[in-house]
Amino acid sequence: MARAAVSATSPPPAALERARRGEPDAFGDLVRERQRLVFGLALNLLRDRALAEEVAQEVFLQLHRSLGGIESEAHLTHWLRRVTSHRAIDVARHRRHAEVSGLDEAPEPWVVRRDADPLVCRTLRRLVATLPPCPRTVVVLRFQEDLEPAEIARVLDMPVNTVKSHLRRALAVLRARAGQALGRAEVTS
Amino acid sequence: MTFDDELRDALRPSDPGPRFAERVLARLEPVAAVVPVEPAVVPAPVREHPRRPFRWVPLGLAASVTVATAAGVVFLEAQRRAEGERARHQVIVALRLTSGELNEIGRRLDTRATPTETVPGDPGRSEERVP
Repeated sequence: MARAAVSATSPPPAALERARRGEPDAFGDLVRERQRLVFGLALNLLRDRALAEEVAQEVFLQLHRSLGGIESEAHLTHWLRRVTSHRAIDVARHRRHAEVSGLDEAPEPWVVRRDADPLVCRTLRRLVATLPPCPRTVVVLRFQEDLEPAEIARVLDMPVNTVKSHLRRALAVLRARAGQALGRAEVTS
Repeated sequence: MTFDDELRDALRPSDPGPRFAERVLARLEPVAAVVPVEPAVVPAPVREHPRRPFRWVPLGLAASVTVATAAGVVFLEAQRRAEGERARHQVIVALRLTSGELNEIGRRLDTRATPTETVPGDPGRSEERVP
């Protein structure tokens, strides 16, 4: 199932090669193919659409300068996750004290699955945003990108045990807070 | 639905909206994103012989080289002529000096060649000729 999801989102192999050869429209195609990954990651980490757009644009501008060093599609995906995560963590740290309030009144930018409960989704996103930047990034990479702790460790340059520790504690906090916010007596894992 | 599934749903990646790629490309190539200016209604007249701004440069260079060469030749010729003149003057001076010296030597020799009278009682000494 995970493989099917990856193959469904992976771009045609020609885009990267054409962009590396400097074909005029190829980089635009590459951006369109990967914008969901990059923007989605930035938005889940920052919960601010304008900031997420700014970070995503910066990531793609950096990608354009670094295209010569990208060796494969897998390398590109890893590179985008890594650069987006680090940039978003930097931005999140800078605006940590100005944590946005009243985001629930903002228009809903996220795509919600039909069978998903919008209230639960909104509450969980708000709770994820209250986590410190590093645990938040670990949680987003785990549940948005379906990465294993070892892959998250490679993306964030972090020991695997630290990733596991962040994940365990963050999930415990999220379960407890979600239980309180949603009025659940017990949240199953 | 488990808590993990709920988190996956909540953190499902979203799209940045339309024209995101165009905004990135506009930042990448700001010059290319500028809307091209409409061409003028009246086109500029076309010259039959288009102006070539550097066509006099080779001629100017050739003229400069010619003038410089001629000036060099004239200068060298004048220098050689001055050297010849100087050498001729030195020869004349040297000849004059030599002539004067020779005249003096001849006069002295003439003076010495005049006959002398022998002093009596002194055979080894001859009397100088009285002029």
